[in-house]
Amino acid sequence: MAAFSDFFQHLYLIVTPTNFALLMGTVLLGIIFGALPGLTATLGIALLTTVTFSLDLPIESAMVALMGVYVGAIYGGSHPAILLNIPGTAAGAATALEGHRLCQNGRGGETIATATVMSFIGTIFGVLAMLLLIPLLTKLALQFQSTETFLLALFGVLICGSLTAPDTVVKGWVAGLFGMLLATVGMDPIHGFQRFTFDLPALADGIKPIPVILGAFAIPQIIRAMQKPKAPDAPALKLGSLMPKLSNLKRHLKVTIRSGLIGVGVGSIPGVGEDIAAWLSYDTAKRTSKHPDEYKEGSLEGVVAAETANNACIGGALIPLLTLGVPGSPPAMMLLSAIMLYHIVPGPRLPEQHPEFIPQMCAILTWAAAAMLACGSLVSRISVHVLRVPPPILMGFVAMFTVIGSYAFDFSLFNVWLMLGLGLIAWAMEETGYPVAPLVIGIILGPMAEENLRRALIDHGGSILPFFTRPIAIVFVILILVSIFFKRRSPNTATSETTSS
Amino acid sequence: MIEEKPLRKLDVLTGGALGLLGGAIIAGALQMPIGGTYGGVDNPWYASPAAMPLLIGSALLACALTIIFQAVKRGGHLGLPNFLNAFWKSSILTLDAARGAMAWGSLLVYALALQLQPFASLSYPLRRIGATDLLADSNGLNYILCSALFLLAFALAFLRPSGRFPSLRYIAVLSAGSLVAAVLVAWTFSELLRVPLP
Repeated sequence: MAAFSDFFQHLYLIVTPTNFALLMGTVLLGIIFGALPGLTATLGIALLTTVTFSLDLPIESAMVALMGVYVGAIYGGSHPAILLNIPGTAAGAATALEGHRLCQNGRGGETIATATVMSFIGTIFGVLAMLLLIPLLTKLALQFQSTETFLLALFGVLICGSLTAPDTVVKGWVAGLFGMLLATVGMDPIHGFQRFTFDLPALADGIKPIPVILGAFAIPQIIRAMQKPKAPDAPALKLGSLMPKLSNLKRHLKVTIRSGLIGVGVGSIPGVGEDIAAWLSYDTAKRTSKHPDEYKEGSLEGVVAAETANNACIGGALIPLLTLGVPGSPPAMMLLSAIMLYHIVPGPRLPEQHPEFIPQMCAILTWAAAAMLACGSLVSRISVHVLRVPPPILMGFVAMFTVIGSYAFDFSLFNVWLMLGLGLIAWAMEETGYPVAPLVIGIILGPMAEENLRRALIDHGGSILPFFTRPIAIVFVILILVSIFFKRRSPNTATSETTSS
Repeated sequence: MIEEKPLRKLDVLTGGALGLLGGAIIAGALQMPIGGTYGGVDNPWYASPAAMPLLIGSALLACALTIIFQAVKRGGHLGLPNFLNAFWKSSILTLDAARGAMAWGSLLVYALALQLQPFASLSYPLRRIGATDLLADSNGLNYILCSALFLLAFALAFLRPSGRFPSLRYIAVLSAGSLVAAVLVAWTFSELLRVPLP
């Protein structure tokens, strides 16, 4: 168990005064980001990436900052969900259903404390999964040749499209294809031929993921928030004790373990993310509950299920990211871009090229979970006040930050225009039932898909037979077919069914 | 997201647009070097720069046809001109849509102002009187003033306490707040975090 000994070593090595201060600051920032409707973990990581890169922080400290925001933001969504019935993130919507009812019944403090502890346990669950699965998956991924790598990238885009499409799955694939199309802009990787640049020098280097991510996730939120700019009502609430009850933890042990497994499993599916993990886990908990009556008055079990799963998803999303270079969730997509800025290429060769990186990430995630546990309950009283900030003021600042974020990445105002244009397209896509997550995963995995497809075909003289004859390739072909013909229950369907039952 | 029935009608349109996009990509890809040699290297179809765009274009075309087919199967094509007319009035010519357009439009104007730098020349007199680096730098000063005006316009356009036209005192407070906020943001990013300003 070399992975565990390396992990424990880095758990100690990572603690420096700078890293500690960074971690506490970014976890708090993340909680605020997660708590404010419209601001997401992805956006938080995207904005902070520019800052860490411009500050020339060493990769270790940059990852401390980004993971702090990631963990804090996923957890932070539970505060407005429980206190105000306004989920700060989609992942917090399942928590809102049960948590706010408990809050209205005078159990707000207890619910927030339970959500905090469960988010901690969920994150640690993800770390354990990383430590156990990454070595196995890395060994498997070393067998991959161009054929398998292309199929993996294609599978990533298709499954993300299938699982995130709110309407028909074809729309999810279209979004993924659009992302892959954007990735072909610029110089082609083998011949150096300029494609779809329209003689614009700024496009010669291709379209970078950061302006696309900022555009896709921030601009639609700004537009939507301004369409109905109503400040949330933040009534004075009596929270009560903010100490978690041990009896609650014991009572929900089975749900906790099951939700942790669901979170890790959903997280490891490319591009899917925390909101689906939370809904799936909540739905499963409700269907299998021994106390279904509690769900009418507000069930702590439902909060436990949703909060454990969405935080376990973080570790799950990092598993394919670190071993295969395929991000498991939208925030992980941004994290991948940030890691690549430091010239570290996640994938099967990562343990060989940077042996310290994976145990370091596990250690950082553990400390981020601990920081979240320490800060979480304390800031719940403050977050009620933060939520009173009117959306026009909040979104004005978000707009300013997204402009700086897209510009500062390579000092080009062209990226700002690109972000604005793609942001409008992303808003129109969402309005007409096309998801944006596959677009982003498409632009990230597109270059990997293209390079490996062409290389595989060149290696085999143009024959497509290896795609259907190599053993691992066959598994991917089956997975791709399953993702195409798989009929999924959307989280929306699950919600409506569970709330009506 | 839009409701089921109008969505199917819009699917006919988005499917059509996607089909056109797919066709355009294929046409663009066919202009790229395919076959023979390129740059002294063998360039069969599968190694050529056109391979991926051709695949993406074809897949988009196939998806577009599927979307149109699914929409038509659910009656999305029936009464399309009337629907468009009604949709224009009920969804586009509305206060919500105007607010959304205004939010995006104000961002566009903000980006344009950062590009054109209308306040850059003001830094010269400030430099003469020995202002701090941030204000004496033409980029920094332009950023602060553009951002302050953007924040003020954004707040004035969308923040209407009790729906009335804002009083002069209210505008003065908002202006001062916007300026202070813009200076703080500019200072934090450029001086503290060393992030260059647009």
